[in-house]
Amino acid sequence: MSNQLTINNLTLFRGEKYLFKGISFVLSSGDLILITGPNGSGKTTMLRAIAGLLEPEVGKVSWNQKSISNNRQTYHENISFISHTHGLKGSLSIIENLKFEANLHNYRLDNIEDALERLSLQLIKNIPFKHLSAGQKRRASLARLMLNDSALWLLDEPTSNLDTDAHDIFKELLNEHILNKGLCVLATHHPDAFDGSKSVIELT
Amino acid sequence: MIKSNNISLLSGFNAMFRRDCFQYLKNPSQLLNPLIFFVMITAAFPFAINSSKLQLTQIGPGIIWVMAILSYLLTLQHLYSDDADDGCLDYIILSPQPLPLLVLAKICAHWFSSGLPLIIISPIIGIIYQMQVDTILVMIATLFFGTFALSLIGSIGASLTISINNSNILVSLLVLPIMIPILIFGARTIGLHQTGSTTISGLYFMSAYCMFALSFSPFASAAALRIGSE
Repeated sequence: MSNQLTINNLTLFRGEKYLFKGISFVLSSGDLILITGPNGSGKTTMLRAIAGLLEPEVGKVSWNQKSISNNRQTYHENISFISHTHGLKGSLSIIENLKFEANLHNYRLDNIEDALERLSLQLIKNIPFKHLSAGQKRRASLARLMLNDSALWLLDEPTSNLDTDAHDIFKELLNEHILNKGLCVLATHHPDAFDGSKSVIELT
Repeated sequence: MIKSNNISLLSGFNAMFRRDCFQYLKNPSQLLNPLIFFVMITAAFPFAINSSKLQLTQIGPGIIWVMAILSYLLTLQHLYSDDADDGCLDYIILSPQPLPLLVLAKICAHWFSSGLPLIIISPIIGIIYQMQVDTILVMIATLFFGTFALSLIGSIGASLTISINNSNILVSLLVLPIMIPILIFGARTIGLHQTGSTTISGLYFMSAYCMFALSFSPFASAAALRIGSE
């Protein structure tokens, strides 16, 4: 099925100043868009607005021509969001965290083992999340992407703290997602690190 | 990758309830500190006053209920702030499950790990205050309805203050006035039973208050969490 994300005149304020103004784009199946810009330019805020975590002051986010405000559940069934905070419980192990995620979304539990294998997390899957290194935490966070087949990935600095091998694994995952007609909005400081066809939005 | 098309409401509720209970078990200090506070203070009162049976039975219900509420207030800060701090709250909000249902699961887990241990330990406190067995049973009944209502009401205060650091005092100020009816009816019902009066109306009120809180607290908390996470 072909999907479409439409961002129309998205505008957000911080205090009395514009964080960004009038951002519009259309993302269709197989499209990747990168959001770049200096620290504090609003990349994370834009992703949160696209995810539906905050209401924009002006503008609209639509999924398959329906506003996400009126269609929240269907939209959330179709997105995978990776934020810069990992959203995993420190006292629980990687596998416990991923099982919770899978049960919450009704995903098949068999996908967890595949995700752990692919991201080389098998040996540390039972260690409490808080005891992992920053790179291992990021890999555990990325394992979420493999738990389901969400059409839209919203990724905030997904490669931060990753070593070269993990970076390559992530690029493979992203390429597979795009080839399988997935959509991706990715905030990054390193747009050149991503190959292939892509659009870039630069925030100032 | 295969994904089930039907989102099971029960699986989301179970997942959230089990994760939070597991989380409390892995951080026993969160669970034990308020409980130890409750036991220590209630057990210390009879030493500090003239501990005749008459006086203990008169003041016992009030002390037990005041301490139950105070120790409960200590637990409320962690109900949502931990999830907000580590980013889990975003993922909970983005879940396709109805947010009020997940909030209810969190409230049930909070009661299971804070209210239930308090109920289990309360007969020991009842014995210290020289209560009869039937009075202890009435106390357990009031604590059952009362602590669940406290979890429901406390959830609203905790969700309204997730974006504020060290909000424990603010949460207490917000929810304490709404908890006062539970304190009055909880303590008075036990007191009435000790004097041989009927207690059923007190228990009816507490169960009705609990059901009333159950009908709106998950929705109010979910709305506050959405706004607070922005």
